[in-house]
Amino acid sequence: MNRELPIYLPIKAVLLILVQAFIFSKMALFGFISPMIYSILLYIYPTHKNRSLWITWAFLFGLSLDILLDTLALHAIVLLFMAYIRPKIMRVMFGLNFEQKSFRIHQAPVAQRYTFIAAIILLHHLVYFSLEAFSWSKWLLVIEKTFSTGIVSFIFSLLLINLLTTRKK
Amino acid sequence: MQRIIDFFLSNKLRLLFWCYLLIGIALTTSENIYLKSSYLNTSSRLSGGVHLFFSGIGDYFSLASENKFLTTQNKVLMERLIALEKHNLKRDSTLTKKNFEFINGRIIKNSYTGIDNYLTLSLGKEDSVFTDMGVVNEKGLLGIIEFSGNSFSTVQSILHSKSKINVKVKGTDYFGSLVWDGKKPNKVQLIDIPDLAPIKKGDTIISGGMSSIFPENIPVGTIEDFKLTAAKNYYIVEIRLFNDMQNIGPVYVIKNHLKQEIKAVENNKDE
Repeated sequence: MNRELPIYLPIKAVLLILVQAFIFSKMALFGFISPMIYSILLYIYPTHKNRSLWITWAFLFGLSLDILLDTLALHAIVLLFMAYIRPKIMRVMFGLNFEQKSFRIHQAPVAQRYTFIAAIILLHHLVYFSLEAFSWSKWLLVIEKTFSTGIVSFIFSLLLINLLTTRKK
Repeated sequence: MQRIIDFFLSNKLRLLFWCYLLIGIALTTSENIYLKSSYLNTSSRLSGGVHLFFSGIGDYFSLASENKFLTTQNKVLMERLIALEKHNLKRDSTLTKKNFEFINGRIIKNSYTGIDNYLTLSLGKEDSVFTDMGVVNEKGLLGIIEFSGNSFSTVQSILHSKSKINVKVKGTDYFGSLVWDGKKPNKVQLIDIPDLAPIKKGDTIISGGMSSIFPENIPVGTIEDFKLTAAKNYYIVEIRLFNDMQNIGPVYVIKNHLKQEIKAVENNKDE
């Protein structure tokens, strides 16, 4: 069965929102860590598709999460920003391969893929916590939260990506 | 004209990005009461229903422990009542006139790991719950209503960077403000306590009653540690909360019947 049919993406997105809002956001590992795994949308959304549609998607996805989590529009802003700069991060991570139309992220070497996931998670968390704190005086707290939550989010994200994506043999 | 259309078409993505960004910033930081309240009202109506459904499922599993808790609380209250009656405490009009009324509800969504945390309450304007009312449970302070929709309300938790509640050290008249450093959900900080205050580890902290939101003597927590500020004239006190902020069930919203009167007097004084 072809798992790259477009129908799968909305289903994955809705599942991600529900899993984030009702499972991961309710977690408190070590008493203070709630993993943010929804940033894997930046990994699973196909590359080289209509970019206007992509950032609209990202904004609406973030806003749905904001409505469920009472965070005004923080997730929407962060995801919109990440969606907008995703091609730039990919160009840095995957180099010239990314320029080719035939580029598929799941065909890239494992090390590159994992570095990409770690980079988007860290950047996403840094922007999110900076916006949430919105004060220079809390920079240490922002860095602490970015790294502690980032590491846990990275582990859960890898598990989820392996669950959500197909393995081509 | 053609040039303008060409400009929009060639910068479509950038313009779309800035457009969404402005919408996001407006929803997050706007001080416009109409925009903010209509967004919060719509979002609380949408998310409230979903959270009520999921918390309803979870509630079934905690029925046994909740029953046990209620019978224990009943026992304590009965014992207090009997003790009061033993002392022949007569009812007079000053005792029966209620300044504070408690409205009971449930927390259907809780957060405690962010820097600014909010709770969603299953009560709204239809239940006479309005902005700036205090929220407590049997163990102590929880927060203040920040926005009240028709059927649901958003509570600014004491685990919020802007939360500042008047409290005091039990048995003394030293008042301070309760704040949160954003780190652990079971620990908050007490500031503005002068270095003359005779405090020690294990002392109880209770609400100060200096505002019209919370009555006096609502428990908060105990002193775990304290140190002087850099200027050495005030203490920063680390407090362990009585409440388990990760597990909040039934709560009470406090309605102060004298609030309007207090506000009117304060406004007169300002003029």
